[in-house]
Amino acid sequence: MAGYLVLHNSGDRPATLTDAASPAFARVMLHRTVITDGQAGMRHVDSVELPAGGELRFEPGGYHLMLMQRRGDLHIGDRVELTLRFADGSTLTAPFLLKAPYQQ
Amino acid sequence: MKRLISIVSIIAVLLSIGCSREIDWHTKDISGLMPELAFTLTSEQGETVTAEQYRGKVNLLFFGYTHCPDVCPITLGRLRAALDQLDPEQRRQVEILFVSVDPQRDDPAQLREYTDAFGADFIGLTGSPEQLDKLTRRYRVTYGYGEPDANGDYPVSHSSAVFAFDKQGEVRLLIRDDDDPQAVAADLAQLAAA
Repeated sequence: MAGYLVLHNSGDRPATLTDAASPAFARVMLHRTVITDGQAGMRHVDSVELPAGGELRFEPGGYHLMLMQRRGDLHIGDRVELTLRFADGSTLTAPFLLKAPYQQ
Repeated sequence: MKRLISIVSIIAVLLSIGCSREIDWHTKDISGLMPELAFTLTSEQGETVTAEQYRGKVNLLFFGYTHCPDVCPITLGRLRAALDQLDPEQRRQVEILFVSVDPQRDDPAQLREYTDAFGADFIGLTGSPEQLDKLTRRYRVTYGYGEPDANGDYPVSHSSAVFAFDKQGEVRLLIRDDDDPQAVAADLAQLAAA
């Protein structure tokens, strides 16, 4: 499963996303899909920079949170909590809605 | 300015009449550029199957793996969205063949659970490395395995394209990840009608 989100940095300093976690999954990793000449691959990324006043999109075909080893049953429409960790030690927790992959 | 637009639209109409005998595909027409659909694989029921068993329907062939978080579910989801735009009669004539290139983790039960989440018209297949190599080479695509991490998880690289075959098993279209479901649906309707 993949997590998609849009992050806004309204501050005047850049932020660096380094990690994510969720009570619903044993492991969450930052990944990026790379499609080269029709060949899709996935890269693990250690951190993603969010510029001051900027926006960072996690969306299909690009950055995504890779959600692994779900801890219990999940159903479309459920809400799952995810916590994002930044390099300065701050965290951000938000609910994520579980959708079927063809629901935009 | 208004007059100019009407002239352009008249020319456009004339042009479209001029080529009305040619089918106007929205996705990439690759008719004749690749061989007909042929394979021997294992079905999600664990049986040995061949491409001939799927003749008579429009087949969409996609290579992936069930642990794929992003490209595979999104691609299958877009195909689902395209199928949902067809009428029930057209939909009955289309089948998606999801070939896992990760047979080590994708056994028939795992494949069945995965494809059922997208619908009954999504069929999971996999095979031995030899069978998968033969099929991927036939359509000039590759796949490969990344380094496993500390937990033994590994990424799999694979083609992002979907190959469409007509009811006779001849290759017809290449559907790419940026083709929108509406365009795909229009092409599938034409293939289903042929």
